[in-house]
Amino acid sequence: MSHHVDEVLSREEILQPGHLACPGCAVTPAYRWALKVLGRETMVTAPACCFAVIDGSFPFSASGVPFLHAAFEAAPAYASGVRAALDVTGQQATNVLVWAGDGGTFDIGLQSLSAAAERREDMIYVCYDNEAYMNTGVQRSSATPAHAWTTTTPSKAGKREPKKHLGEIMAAHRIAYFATASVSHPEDFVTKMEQAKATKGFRLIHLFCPCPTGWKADSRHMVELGRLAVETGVFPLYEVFDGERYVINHAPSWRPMQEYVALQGRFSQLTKDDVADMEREARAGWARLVRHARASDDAVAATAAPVTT
Amino acid sequence: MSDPTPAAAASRTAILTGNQAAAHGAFLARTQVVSAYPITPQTTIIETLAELMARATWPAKFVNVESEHSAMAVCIGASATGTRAFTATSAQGLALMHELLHWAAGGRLPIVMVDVNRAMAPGWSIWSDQTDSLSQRDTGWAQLYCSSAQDVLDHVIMAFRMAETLSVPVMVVEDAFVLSHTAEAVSLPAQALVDAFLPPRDAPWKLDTKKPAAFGGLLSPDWYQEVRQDLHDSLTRLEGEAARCYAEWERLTGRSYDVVESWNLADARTVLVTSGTVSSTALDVIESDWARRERVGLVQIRMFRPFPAARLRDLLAGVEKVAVIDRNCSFGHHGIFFQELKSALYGLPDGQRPKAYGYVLGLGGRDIGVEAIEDVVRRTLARATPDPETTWLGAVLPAAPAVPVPPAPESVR
Amino acid sequence: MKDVHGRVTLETRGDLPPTAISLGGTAWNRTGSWKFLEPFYKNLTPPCAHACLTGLDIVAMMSAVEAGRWDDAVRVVMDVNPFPAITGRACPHPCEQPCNRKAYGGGVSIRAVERQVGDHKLAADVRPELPPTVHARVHVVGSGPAGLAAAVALRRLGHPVTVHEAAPEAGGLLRYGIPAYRLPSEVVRAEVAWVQRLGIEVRTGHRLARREIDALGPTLLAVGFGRSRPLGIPGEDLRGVHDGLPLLAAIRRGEPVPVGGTAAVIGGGNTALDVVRSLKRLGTDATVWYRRTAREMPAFRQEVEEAKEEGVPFEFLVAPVRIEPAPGGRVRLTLVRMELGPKDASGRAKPVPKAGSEFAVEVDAVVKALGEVLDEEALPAGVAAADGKVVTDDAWRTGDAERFAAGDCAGRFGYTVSEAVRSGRLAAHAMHAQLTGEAVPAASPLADQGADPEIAKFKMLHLAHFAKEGAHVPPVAAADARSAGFDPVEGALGTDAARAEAARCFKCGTCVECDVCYQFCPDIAIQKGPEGGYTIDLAHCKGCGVCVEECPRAAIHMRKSS
Repeated sequence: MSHHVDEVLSREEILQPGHLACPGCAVTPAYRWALKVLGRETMVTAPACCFAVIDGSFPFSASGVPFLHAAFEAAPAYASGVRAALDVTGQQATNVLVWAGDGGTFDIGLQSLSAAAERREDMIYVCYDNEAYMNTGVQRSSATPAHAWTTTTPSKAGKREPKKHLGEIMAAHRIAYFATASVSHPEDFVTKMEQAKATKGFRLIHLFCPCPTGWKADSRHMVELGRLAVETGVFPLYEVFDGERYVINHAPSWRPMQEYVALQGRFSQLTKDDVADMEREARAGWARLVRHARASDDAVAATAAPVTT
Repeated sequence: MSDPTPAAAASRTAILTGNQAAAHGAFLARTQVVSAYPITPQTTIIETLAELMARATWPAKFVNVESEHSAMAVCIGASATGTRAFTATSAQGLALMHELLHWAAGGRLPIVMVDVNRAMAPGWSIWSDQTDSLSQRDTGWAQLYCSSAQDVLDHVIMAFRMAETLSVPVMVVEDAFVLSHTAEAVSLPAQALVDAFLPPRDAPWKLDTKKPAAFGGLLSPDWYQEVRQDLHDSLTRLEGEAARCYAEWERLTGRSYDVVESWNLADARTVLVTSGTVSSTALDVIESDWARRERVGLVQIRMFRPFPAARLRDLLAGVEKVAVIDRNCSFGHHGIFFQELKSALYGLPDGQRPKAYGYVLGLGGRDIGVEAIEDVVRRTLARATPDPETTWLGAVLPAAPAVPVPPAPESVR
Repeated sequence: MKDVHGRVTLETRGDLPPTAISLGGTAWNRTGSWKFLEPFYKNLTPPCAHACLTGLDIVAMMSAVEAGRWDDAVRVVMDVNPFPAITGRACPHPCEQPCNRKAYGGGVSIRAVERQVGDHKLAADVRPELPPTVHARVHVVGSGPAGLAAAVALRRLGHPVTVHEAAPEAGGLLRYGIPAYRLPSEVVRAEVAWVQRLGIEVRTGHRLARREIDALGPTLLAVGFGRSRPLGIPGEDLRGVHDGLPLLAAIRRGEPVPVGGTAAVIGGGNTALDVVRSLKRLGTDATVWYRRTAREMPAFRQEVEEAKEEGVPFEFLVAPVRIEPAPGGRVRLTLVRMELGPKDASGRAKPVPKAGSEFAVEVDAVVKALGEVLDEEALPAGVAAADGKVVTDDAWRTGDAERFAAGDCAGRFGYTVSEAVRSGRLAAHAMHAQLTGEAVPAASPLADQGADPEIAKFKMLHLAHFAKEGAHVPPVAAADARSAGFDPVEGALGTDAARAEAARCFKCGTCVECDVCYQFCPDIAIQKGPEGGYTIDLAHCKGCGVCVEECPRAAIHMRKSS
């Protein structure tokens, strides 16, 4: 890792140990890193999600920064209120960070998220995506991938619908900065958090967050799962600036999907066809991403070229 | 009425609707964050306020949200960060906010909201009806029912002070159209007067990077009840706090208010109990000759939460009958002011406790005119005992003719 | 309201805030109670270090080189080997064989990196810290790698040292055995000069007589093997038959070598290879005749490969029978074909002559290159020899309280330069202990660190943390060009390539404080130690195993919770 990233990750601890995350939870390293980038001049809002419990019950909080629990569907709106208050009291430099799971982002919170994005609220939104409603016991969300077992998609086929595409939704909102990231790639995540910190407007980082508990995987594989998701093309790493310019950060090495699936009990019922389907989906998603990236390269070229009449 | 202070003399008169008065009240209170979503008949509050806020000489922000739930959420976020927050809504919007009304109260956030009483859908209705605000009576918000534009303006300002003193949110309620869109002469107090009455908010706790803490985390059964009891205790004290505010407001502006207003109670045998703009119509009725002959008095309940039970017991002890007009209903039981009043009167000893007659009328914005109120009085006078069932009045359509019961078929006999 | 563990407690209702606002942190919460497995740090032994003939902490050297800390790299090597410029050219590098990087882009060019370190030592004149010379003067007889390494070690232990060398220049086999194309004279001279700058006296050009050795006082004999092994066949003392090592020495001294146009080199070890490649460079067509097969040749693999590239012919399964004079001053060598029979004591199949397969060749010279043996007659009185080696006890003594032996003549290790260096150092420490009563253990870097003897295997590594880059190999002169002269066959990597190689080194089994465990721990239970390294906060560690899984180099492991 770069010396700079090592230095960032060696900064003082803000998140405290003694929190209530499951062993091997990916959220807490990410939160720890995010706070190291943003520093203590940060206020966090979190909806109902695992982290709302991980932070600790009253009268304890592990976060180390002001932390406002929010109703499930309204974290971006709570955060907008915090932002407004900070702005009118001369605290424009204080970071507002929404730290939300996939449930509060993709589903019940999508409306307030869309509104905050549309208003270009000056905040950073990190969606840590463990691909189901984990806090309430592993029920499906629209972020759950197709074929995955959850308690509300328990049949052999698992969830039928593909994962909702948050990146495309956010690009359509033309937000200042969108990026995907994975806990398995800390340098990439830190770089993106820094980019987010330096950008004004609505910034969203979609963070892939393996959940050994909910995915029925060995806790020690938390990082490897993220790595495999990136390398199988399930979760590509890219950025979108102003909804227009796509930058792909990493080309997958196309590890066989079976390697990813084999580590997770939530995929234990998959047939070979299902796995092939996942591979096709990953390839198709990658192709779409590449088209976006090419189109944005062309767009840059087009705007740079002189207009001929 | 005491002499107005010099500051009061600097006030000016404007012709304002109830909604415009609400907006001016919020503006004079130096609200810092407003977030609202339009809904008829609240819209002119936020439109007026948006214009006023654009001229604010203090840092202020108007956040246009995508729903009322988010409007309250923004207010919660802003209030939790120590600023003065305001919103307004009506009916569907208020109902959509319901979850967060609990949150604001449980979070002890001194948010002020104006609700324009409007009937709940379906079918769509934009007209005056109290069911929307009264459905929120259990959320821990104070509720103040206004009956004039001046009332609204003054109470929005005073609401902030009551809210911030006790750390409870306060809802100021006005009737749709008859108040919200009806213009009258309103005295706008000078900014200096309002500043003297309402200093900048000094939040006892707030999100603060110098004192980091988590707000709203998991609360154990060991402590939850006592935390909620604290809300209850503070809300209960709001009646006393209101009295203090009213006294000072009177000193500053010459205008006096009470949590419960009363007329002609001295020798009343029957007392009409109303809230909102119906009260001014009711005043006309009881001031008529026949009502005076019948010794009919009037009580207007301004403060619904906390419910001024002791005060009402004092006023109504020994009265023969009370007749409550509810422009609302808790379906399956009674009109809500009626229920609450009966519950309060239960505390009177036998012999002192009036018989209580409850009437539901005016739902969905149906006009409650002089005739309707007279009808309420007459029915009350006419019946020795109250009807145990809810009495619904004012139907426009006549009752359907009785359908003759057909004889039972041969096989059943 | 705060108990002894820093946990906020609520005593009365007065402690309850009016709404759920937190009053303290979570650090008091000992989530470590959740676990049933716990991690612990333990360095394993890297396969290269396990194979290293000098006992070098190769990983530590690589870490220093990677960071560009060349002086530190030199000091790491000097802990066990004062002459990396020499071993970096002459060692057969068994470390490279088991290098785990072979399976991931190519093995690390360890020897070439060591050479770069050695060249830096000489160029920057990096010297070890030297204590004052407070102990008795020690004499070292023989200035080969064992003698010089012993001298340096003794000086570092506080002894004044005098090294005695019979030849005109110091270095022993380094100067007069190993060909210049492998180990240039300038490098040997530079190392000797460096030794002298440490205050070690080096006296050359005088062969000590026995009584002179007796008079020396505390002495370390590092005389090597001074006698060539005979062929044991008729005619081996004829004119035109030469001993291999003296021939090499003559070449190294730059003297004319009376070998002529063709030569037969008998043997399959390093001496034979050195001879044949040197003769080729002098214009002689020399063939190697070896009585076993290619697989059994004891010469260094690299030597054999390079010789083949240079066009040296090899004949296998042939043994000399007799040598006779031939017309024109030549000699006639009769050989017999061999076939492999049952295994002998060395574990190799014993070759047996095939009856009736004798044949003869006529050559200008025959060179006996069967290797060297101890010159027992040159040993001082009281120094016993057995099995072709000086007899030494566990303390490297020869039976005389003040006389020690090291290197080839003591025969305690294999017969490479690197093992001679090791031998000299260990003997020096034993000698110091004997002479002063003060035992200073010879550095054994991996053991000293407490590394586990378990070898860090490839499958234990976590490859995701390493880019699959190809190896940088030192430049090797083209075969036809190089056999025209004695210029070095192998060039230097250069500092950039050496650093790149050092960066490619996995550092198997060794915690290099890469921070991966510290960064990934979900419970902030791994913190940086005050003086480097990491501490594990078992009070909070939940035993998830991510640190162990992610460690790139198998330096952290799981065990049942205590």
